[in-house]
Amino acid sequence: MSGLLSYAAPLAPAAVVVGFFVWFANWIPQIHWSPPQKHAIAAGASPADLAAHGKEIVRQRGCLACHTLEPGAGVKGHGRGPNLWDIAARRARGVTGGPGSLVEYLVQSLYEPGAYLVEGYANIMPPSIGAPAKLTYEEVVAVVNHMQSLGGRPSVRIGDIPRPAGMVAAAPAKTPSTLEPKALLESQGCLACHGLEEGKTSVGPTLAAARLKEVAASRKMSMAAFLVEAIVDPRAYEPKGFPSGVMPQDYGAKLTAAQLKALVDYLAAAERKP
Amino acid sequence: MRGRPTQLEGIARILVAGCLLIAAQSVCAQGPGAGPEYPAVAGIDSRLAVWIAAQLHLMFAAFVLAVPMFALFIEYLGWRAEKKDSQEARRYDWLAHEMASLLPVAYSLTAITGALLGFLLFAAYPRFMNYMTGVFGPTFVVYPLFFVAETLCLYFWYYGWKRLQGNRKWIHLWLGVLLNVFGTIVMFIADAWATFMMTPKGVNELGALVSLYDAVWNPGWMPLNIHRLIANVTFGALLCSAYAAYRFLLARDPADRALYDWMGYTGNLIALFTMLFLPFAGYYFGYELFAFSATYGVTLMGGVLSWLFIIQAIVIAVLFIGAAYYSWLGLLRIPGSEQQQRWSPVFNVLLISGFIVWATPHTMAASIEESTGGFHPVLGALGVMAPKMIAVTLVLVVLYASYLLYRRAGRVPVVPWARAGTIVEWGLVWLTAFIIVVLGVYGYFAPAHVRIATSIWQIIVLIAGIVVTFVLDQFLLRDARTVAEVQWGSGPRRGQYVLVMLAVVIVWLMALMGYARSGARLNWHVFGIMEDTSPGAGLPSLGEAALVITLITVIFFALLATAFLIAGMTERPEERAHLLEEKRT
Repeated sequence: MSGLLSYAAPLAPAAVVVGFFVWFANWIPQIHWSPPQKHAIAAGASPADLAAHGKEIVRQRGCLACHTLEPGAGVKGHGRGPNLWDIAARRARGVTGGPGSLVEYLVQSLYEPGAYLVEGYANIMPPSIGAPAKLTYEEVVAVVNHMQSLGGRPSVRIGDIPRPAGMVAAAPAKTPSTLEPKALLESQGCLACHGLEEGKTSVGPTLAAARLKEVAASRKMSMAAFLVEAIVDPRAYEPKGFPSGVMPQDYGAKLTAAQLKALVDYLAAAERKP
Repeated sequence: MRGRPTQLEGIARILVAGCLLIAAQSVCAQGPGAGPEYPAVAGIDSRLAVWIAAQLHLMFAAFVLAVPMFALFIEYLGWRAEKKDSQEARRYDWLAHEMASLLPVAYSLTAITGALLGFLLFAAYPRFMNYMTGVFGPTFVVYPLFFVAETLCLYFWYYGWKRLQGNRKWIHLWLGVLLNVFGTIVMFIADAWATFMMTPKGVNELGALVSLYDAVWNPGWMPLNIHRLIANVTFGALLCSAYAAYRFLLARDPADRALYDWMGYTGNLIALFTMLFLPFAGYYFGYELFAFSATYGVTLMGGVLSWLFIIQAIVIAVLFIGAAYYSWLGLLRIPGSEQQQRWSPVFNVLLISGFIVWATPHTMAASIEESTGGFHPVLGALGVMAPKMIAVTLVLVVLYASYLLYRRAGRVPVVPWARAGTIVEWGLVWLTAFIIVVLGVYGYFAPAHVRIATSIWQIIVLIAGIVVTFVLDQFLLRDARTVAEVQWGSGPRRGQYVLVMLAVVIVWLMALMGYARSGARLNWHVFGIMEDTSPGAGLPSLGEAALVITLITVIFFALLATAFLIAGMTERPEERAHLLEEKRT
């Protein structure tokens, strides 16, 4: 027993010190952080509803870790970023800087925050459609409405402001004239993220025919209908485990109907031409 | 007894091979149709299991990298001392070998925890690991090759110690150099994976690989390499000191105590010296993270993890003050050092004051919603960067001044310019402190980008001050007259308790900062590229995290105690008896 004690005794001061650390860590405010939940926003939501969503989003996504909401402080509050209180009223009073209208200014601030900086503030804000906030288009519209409501009246509906160009291609890809599916897959950058063979995945899921068939069946859709949906409206179904919202959503506009059909036919075929 | 570690290593290798095979199968079998994105592994909490396994593996990896570093350095000192003083040379060689004796078993534990981590990652996060394999495939091939090379060097170095003595010592030293080079490369490769998750480069917006070179040399890679290299030495030194402290406390023979007292002192000195540079290495890492995405700065310093850095400041304060306190206790071993001893309380007050400023929070948010980015109405500007930089840099000046005083204990300079030299030396220390304060005050009133520049200059001034006065001190104390020999083994026992406490605290700190580094990514496996959509994604409260960190610390020490126990069985009684005899005479 005394032998064991001689080994344990030197640990006593360490135990007291670590005990203090644990006590202190439990004594300070306990914050559980959870990933932000996507807001289900109806396409026909009114600006007032959108502004209410926007208020929640601004609080949840960490915007207020830098921006402040200080009544009467003007643009320069005590935060790392500009004070947002009364932003709409300030603009209405003739405060200039950045794009002309308030909505354009807010959209630019959310999509490209570094494009215009309020004097005295550093370029530290990440685009809100990227990490960590990762707002959807509808959420961006909601935030714009909330900002308008700070000293003004929300007025923007979904569809009124441009969608983000996508995190993938800032410049729109040229529409190829070919109907050759392999060339289309290449030129549209599909193969940068998808593999054509079973088990080959990188950023996006494999495009192996057997796997596509499985997913289409699980969604109770025909193979062709599923593929058209997946290409034209990739947000409609996003398999778990892959980054959300990274696939461009403008293939519907970029591809002709004939090209889309050629791609769908090719991907749906069980045995593809090499 | 030498067969004991070898058997354990054999078992470890079999376990490693088994786990890697399972992991490889897991990789080959996956794909979208291979199963759920986040499969449950044996009903355990995968996130918690990966957290514990990763942290344990990191700690053992740090240990087996750090110990050869300073064991080799001490062996080199012994080799250099051979011509002048063979007794001192043997003492250094004994110490290096004593430290190295901890390695074989620790190496096996590194391999076992690494295999467990690999297995858990591939089994519980197949999609993520598939992506990482896609990006870093070639490094996954190179990594084990260097690992094997490191292992071979370790065994030849450790088991060839006796054979490669005398005029073959240089071969042994080169083996040690190779061991360190391979170990460092292994760490650098693993750092590339870890930092890519935080600051991904070399991939396009969709995460597809564009350049493996850029993926490896991502913005966080070199800062983390530097930070870990320095921190590993501190970590290994403090663990070896704790080992020596235990042996000291259990020793019955005064000569035995003298040997382990000296070992503990040397370890603490190395730790204290390397700790001086750690805040700057950490600052460099943080700077690069902030440059990559300012959200890291906000998350770590003003958001969900801001309270963690208050805990960190307290833990580091315990570490610095504890190491300094041990040094001050060391003065008691030197008769006639009363002149130096009277400064200890002054230094103590200065250190505590510095840490109080450092630990002052910028904001006192009790929830995410409350963290508004503004200053606290009561604490005001005390929690901002400029005063903190002054405080932490002055703390390092005080620690260094304490070291300079320790060197003077029991020694009288005999050079003709001793008095003038001493005045200049201490004048430079004061000047360093003064410039640091002036730069800090100027930075407080300047815009942010100027403040960052002044903080870098504060660091440069500190390092310049240390280098100049250190060189000056070497000349000042050249052929100094020794008026009182250090009486090894006569120091108070509470000093040994402090050493054990410091080892536990640095392990706890390492686990805390491992959590901070990982937690800063929030719900991203790879920041901005691959989101963590698993059910448990998110961060626990700091209270819960502290409990897990303590559990990791306990497991680590339980495993390390086993390694130390086995190392104790492999000691060479005849060599130690010889050294003890020398000590007695």
